This record gives sequence, C-alpha cells and structure tokens, in this order.
Amino acid sequence: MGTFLAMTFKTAMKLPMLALASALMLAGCSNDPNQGAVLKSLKAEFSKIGKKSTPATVSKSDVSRVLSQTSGPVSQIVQSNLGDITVILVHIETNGPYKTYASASKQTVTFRQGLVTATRGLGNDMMSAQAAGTLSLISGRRSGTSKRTLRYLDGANDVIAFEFDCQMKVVGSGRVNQGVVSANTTKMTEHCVAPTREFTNTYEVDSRGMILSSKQWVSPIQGYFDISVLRR
Amino acid sequence: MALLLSSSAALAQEVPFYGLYGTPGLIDMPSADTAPDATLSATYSHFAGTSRNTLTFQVTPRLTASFRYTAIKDLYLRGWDRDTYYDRSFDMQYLLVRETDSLPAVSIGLRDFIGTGLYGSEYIVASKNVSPRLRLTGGVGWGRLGSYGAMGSTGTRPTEVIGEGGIPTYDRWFRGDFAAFGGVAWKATDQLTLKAEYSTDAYDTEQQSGTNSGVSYGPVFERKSPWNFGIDYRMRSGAQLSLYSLYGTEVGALVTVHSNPHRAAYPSGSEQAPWPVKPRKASERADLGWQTNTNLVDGLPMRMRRSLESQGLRYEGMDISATKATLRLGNSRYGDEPEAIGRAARAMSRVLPGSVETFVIVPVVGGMAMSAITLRRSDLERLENAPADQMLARVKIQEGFGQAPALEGGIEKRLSWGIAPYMDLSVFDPDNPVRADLGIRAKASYQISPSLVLSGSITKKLSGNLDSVTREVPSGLPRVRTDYAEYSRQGDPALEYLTLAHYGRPGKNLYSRVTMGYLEAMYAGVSGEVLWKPVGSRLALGAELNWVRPRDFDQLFDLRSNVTSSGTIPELNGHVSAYYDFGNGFHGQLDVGRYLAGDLGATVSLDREFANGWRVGAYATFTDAQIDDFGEGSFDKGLRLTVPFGWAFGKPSRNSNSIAIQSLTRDGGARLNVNDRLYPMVRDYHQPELAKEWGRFWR
Repeated sequence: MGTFLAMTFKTAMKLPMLALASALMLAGCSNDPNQGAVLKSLKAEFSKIGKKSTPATVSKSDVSRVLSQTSGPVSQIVQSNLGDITVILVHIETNGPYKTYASASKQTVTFRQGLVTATRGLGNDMMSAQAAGTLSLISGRRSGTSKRTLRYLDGANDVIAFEFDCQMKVVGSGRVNQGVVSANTTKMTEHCVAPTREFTNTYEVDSRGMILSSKQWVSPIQGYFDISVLRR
Repeated sequence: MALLLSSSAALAQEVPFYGLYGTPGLIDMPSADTAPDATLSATYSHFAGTSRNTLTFQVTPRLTASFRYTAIKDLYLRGWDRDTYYDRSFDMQYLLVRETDSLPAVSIGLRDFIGTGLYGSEYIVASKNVSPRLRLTGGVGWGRLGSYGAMGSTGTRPTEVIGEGGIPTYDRWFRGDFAAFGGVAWKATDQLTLKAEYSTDAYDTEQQSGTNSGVSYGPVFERKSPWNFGIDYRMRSGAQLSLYSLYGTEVGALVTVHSNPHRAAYPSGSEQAPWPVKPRKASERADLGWQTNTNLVDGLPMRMRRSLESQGLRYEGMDISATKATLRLGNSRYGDEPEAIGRAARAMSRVLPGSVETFVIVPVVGGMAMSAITLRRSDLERLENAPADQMLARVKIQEGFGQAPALEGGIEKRLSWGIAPYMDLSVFDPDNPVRADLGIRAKASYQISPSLVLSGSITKKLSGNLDSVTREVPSGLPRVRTDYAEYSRQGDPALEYLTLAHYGRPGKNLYSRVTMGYLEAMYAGVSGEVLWKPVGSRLALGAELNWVRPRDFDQLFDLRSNVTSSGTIPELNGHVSAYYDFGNGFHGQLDVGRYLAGDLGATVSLDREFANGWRVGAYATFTDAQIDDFGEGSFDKGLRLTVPFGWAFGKPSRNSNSIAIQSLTRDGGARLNVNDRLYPMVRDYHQPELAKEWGRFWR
C-alpha cells in the first residue's frame, strides 16, 4: 500500500526554503517529539529533491495480498494528476451513510455511495461536501441537474466553499471486473461548474446505486482520482 | 524569514506590477494599483549605485504600507563622509476610488513620510485599463515627484527635520511645487509587459557633488532625460523580474516576490488523518453495565492516554461518570487549538463507554486550566461530515477555573531540552547595515510541578561580527539598552536566561505569573503579572510589575551596578495593559507604565492577524523622555511579522518565526523582555480565537 502524494510544489521554491530550515533545524536535536513532525517533513522533502517522484506502483500481487489479509471493503485510488500514484485503502469506520477508508500511511478518504465527500492528510483536503442532489441522481441512475458544495481550507484556515452547478447524464451501460467485484453498471458523467472551477466526473454505478468505478475531481491541488472498489 | 515566505504557493495573476520603490507602480513612478488583501511583497531594486529593499503589505483591501531600506553609493550630503548612505523610509497609499468600466482606480500616497524624508513625496494617481492589454497611469506629485517639470506650487515646502527625525513630516505634505507624471503599460503576453513613463523626479540630491573631509562625492548619476522604459517579466509564482532603461543614462533591474497568508504551499496541511468518530449503536447509549466492569473502568485512562499520545497530545487526567467525562488535555503539537480539541473529542468517542454523552475538554497550559469546552457526543456523531461551523454552534466554551481534573500519575515528561544553531541579526547600523552572530544554543526546561517550571538557555558564539559595533550611541537616559555591543562582546558563552516561573489561577477570569532569576540577557530580578480575561471576552486587562538589576556584560551569574554614565537604572518598572480583538482581523494593545529607564509613557500596538497565526503589525512608544535625551529617531517604533511553521511546512507546529524591524535601539521606551507573558498563552484557548480557527476542528 502506498502513500498519496500529499503535496506538490516547485523544487525551485523548495531549495532556498529548505536550506534555511535545514540550517536552523536539521542540525538541532531535542527530546521534543513534536519537533519531529516538522523535521520529518523537511527531511522527506529533501530526499525528494532532484528525484523525479516515481509513481508507487501497486502490483496485482499487492492487491491480492491486501484482499487476502483483510476482510472488509477495499478500494484503490490512482492519483492521475500527480504522476499516477496508486494507493490501496481499507475501510476503517462507518458513520451513517459515510464510510471512511484509510491508507497505510494514515491518510483517509470518506465516501458516500462511493462519492468522495472528504479527505484528510493529503494536503488541500476536501473538508466536507454537500452532494444530496448528485447522490439521488446516482441512486436512481437518472440524468438531471443538481447543486454541489465542496468545502476546503485556505492557507489562513478560512473555510472556502465552492458552489457547483452540476449536470448529470446517463451515457450507457457497462461492466466492471476489479478485485473481487464484478457487476453490470450504468455509466454516468457529471459536469460541474463554479465561478472559478469546473470539473467532469465519470461514474460506473451498480444496480443498488453504489459507484464501483469512477474518475472524481477532489481538490484544486489533488485534481482527479481514479477510484475502483476492489471489494464491497 | 524571506525564505520562509517563499514557501507561499503561486499567486495568481492579480498581483499588480511593482516599481523601483517596491510598491505598485510603473517604473520609478507610482500607480493606483493595489495587491490582493494581505499580500506581503519583498522587492530588491538597483540602479546607479542605488539599492532599495522594500517590504510592502496590503494592510486592508485599500491601504498599502511599505518599509524600505535604501543604500546609495557616492551620495554627496553635507557632512556625510562615508562611501554609502543608508536610509530607511515608510510609505502609505490609500485607494480612494475602485476601478470600474468607466472610472479609473484613484489612489493617494505618501512616500517617506517619517524621518529625514530623503524620498519625501506625495501624490494622487489614477490608473485605468483602456483595453485588456493597455493600462494608462497618470498623476500629480509633490516633493520629489514635483521636482522636475513643475506646473505650479502650493505654498513653500519646509526642509528642516522635525525633532531628531522619526516624526511624520506633516508640515511638508502636499506643499511646494507639483508636477504631472504618467506612463503606459502594455501587456505583450501573459508573461511580458512593456512600459514607458515620464518621471517628474529630478533626483536633485543625487545630482549634487562636493567634498567632505577631503574626499569628493557625487553625483550619483547623470539625469539626462525624464523618460524611462522597462520590460516586466511575470513568473508563474507571481514573482516579477524587470529590466529598465532609466533617465537616459542608466540601466536598472528589479526582483519582487509575493506571499500571502491565505495561500500556503500546503493548504489545509498534510498531517496524518485523525481517527474518525466512532458512532454508538442505540443499545450502547443506554447501557450502564460498564460501570461495574472494573477491568474496563481501570483500563480507560490507559486507552485514552495511548490514543492521545499517538496524535502528539498529552493525557493529563480524566474524571468519568455514567454520562459525563472531563479530560485534562495538554497540547504541544497543534498550533491551531481547535484541531487539538477535535482530535481529543474523537479519541474520546472511540474509547469511552456508550453512556458517556457529555465530553468536557479542559486544555491546561503551565498548570492553568485555560477553558472548559463542552461537546455532546451525539453532536460529534451527527456533524462529523457537516461544515465545521455547525459543530461550533453546538459547543460550549466556558471558564476553566476549577474545572480541570487532578493531574494523574505525576508528570511523565518533566525534562525537555533542545540544542540548535541560532542566528542573531542586527540591522540598520550605518557602519555595517547587516551584522550577525552564528552559534549554538542549548535550552532546557524542567517541570517541577504542573505550575512550576525551571528553564534556561545558553549560547556559544561560533562566528559573527555583532561585537564589532564601534558606533558611540549617545543617550541622555540611563543606559538600559544602548550597551548592547558590550553584552555581545563579552557574552560568550552567555546565559540567556535562567528562571523559575510559577503560573496560577488566583480566581475566576484571573491568571497569574511570577518569574524570577536571570530574566533576560541584560536583567535579572523578579517579574510578576496578573491577567484578567473572561473566556468569551474580546477584551483582556493585565498588570505587570518588575524588580530588576542589570546583569554583568559577560552574561553569566554576576550583576553590575545600576549606575550608568548617563543615569541610574531604576529597580522598578511595570505596565498595565489592555488587549482588544477588534473582530475584523485587527488586534490592538495598549501598555501604559514605567519603562526600564524610568520614563513614563505608553506603547500602542496594532496587528493584522490571521487564523493561521500570521501576524503583521506596528507599534510606537511615547514616553516623557525628552526627544534630545532619546536621540536619533525621537521615539521608539517598529514593525513586526510572525510566520507560523505550520503554514510554511504544512505540518502542525506551535512554533513560529518572528522578525521585528525596530528603529534604532535606544534607552527610551524600552521594556523588559521576560519570557512567556500570559496573554498569548491564554487567548489561544479562548474566544474569539477558537472560533477563528474552528475550520480545523475536523482535521
């Protein structure tokens, strides 16, 4: 199981900042475990410099190992905008209709019917989502319009809410075979527009209104995730 | 610090172009443009032996403020016999009219309006896009900006400096000759903009030449033409590089980088995800059977503790009944306190038996219960996926006095220590504008009891030139701060501080501190403080009284006589303080009292604050010390900037980096630098501070 690529920013900007930070911090030592959090992130950043981040490839055997070692639901995410980093997530908690999945490196994604409603630990996380209209169209596998609100934090910790107007279209039928899941699906695409953003998601939805395979826009920095349910 | 700032994420194209003065402008002339609110820009420009380093902050959407440090080589000024002339200047610009389809943006500005006024000028300027690619700017300027091609005059412009400098030059504003300047900016591509301007700055001072102490100076450059031309290149990060042809004879260049607290390289941070809330089944909510299961009951503290410690939080104790649990919480990781509260609440939902419906979290700092935050477990379960303000509306934030459970099982980690390199900077000395010492600092603190802390710090210099200060600092006051060079020369190694501090809650809404020992580099003694701060109040009041004796220059254990060449340092000083959060991002502080030199007066501070811990502010101190006794600068004033590590690195941290740009260090209006004053510690866990950062509760 891999790690999400949690952030991206230009190496050129990293270098001077890290040089300073290293001079003032890396050379230091302390018995304060909280000094460690910043230090570790700096060291991790350092190790990335000069290396092109290689996508963490998850092989078929990794997938089958996770499936055999766990019994609960498992999903796979490919971060297509961030160099095809692949991560396997296992289900850790359910709160009403919301299901939270975690990666091995303690990053989480929360889904409702397979639609991403929150992420944590990635950077530029989706804090929460209001997607009742979209979910009801997905449940009914119907075309139609809906409103979607996605909330984020900006650098100053202010909550930023994007209000999208969305148009859902049923485009046909399909079939998925992934992990231990195989099912007939309805293919849907959804185009959402906000004053400063827009995205197009695609979904393959089973007969119970659950998204099994999808491409979903998550946040400005994270971009799109390709999500496959490997075990329901 | 500049490097910390560069960690800001790319700024969009909405930042205007900056000019040679490091403010929004054409080339050498100002424009009416403003940057997005809270943009902090650093500019370095150079032409004809003139270097300008400017920090510009967009204080409000309409108000822009700048601080500049200029070095001019070979400038002839009567009596000035050094190779380079250094000058500091402050500018302000206010946007009077916003640009619309039919109206131009109109701004009014003051350049170098405090002090000697080398760059003193005033202007009214308008800017307007006449097409998406073509922007016109035109204005009228006084002072320097009215020194070439004057159209008329509004009275006589005085030239004398008021007092010892450092006072607004209000007697000059908008007086004397005025002239019309202007120019065009043509956006050739998204990256490249071409500019041409007509400058009304005659550079009279720079044109002069003469002899001081037998050495001839000037002119700095020859001004042959009022026309300037330039190419601006905009990088994807918003940074600007420019190349100019200036005044018919010179070539100039500029680089500007921008930062904004709202834009982080890691928006939201990328710290490990919290554990989700564990919702209860209906049957669990009513089940009280756990109370008789002693194994389970006895195991709760340990499970709670493990869960908190795995997230960098400290378990300090818990009271638990059938329906309510009160947690005593220590937080040394999360700079955004609601995140610590939110994580503790979720840990409680995962550990505590189902019948416990009410969670009370009491954050404790230095043994002081800061507040009591009451949450309903069913709200946590219901609102985990809702906007954070819905949870805030359901939370009660109350006085923490007497609410904290007893400390459990002693203090686990009494000793904390760290060894790290340090850098001490001294800037603006005309002999050497940047001096620095590099060395190693070892710090330790030992918690004797929850509210009693012994702490100390030692430094050993490795290299540096702070001790090379030779400038005689004249003073008409007891030398309470102006012997700093002597402290730097002799203090190696130096005991920065060694103190015993006690914190307490003497009553409702009251907090107290007593610190004794070697309080700071220059003073030893006892410092006592009381703070009144109701948990929901925007206003806090404090009082501090200090009894001090000056420390020996070697900064070890000896004291020296409090008699100095220009007076006796009094033993008693102290202040009463009022703190007020205006609620619109501004925070004010007023301190009234007796300063180190015995002068009586007040310090006024105003900071723009952001929920992530960024702070940009200014302060000024006015005391009864005579202006001639104070010396150059007339009174103490300065700027300060704080950038939290959490913003810069995307990992939770309670540390930050602060810089202060002070006018010259003088003896008037000087305060004792005692560590850990109460107000910043207390307000973190109070309203309105918690509400501002509440967006992080679910992180």
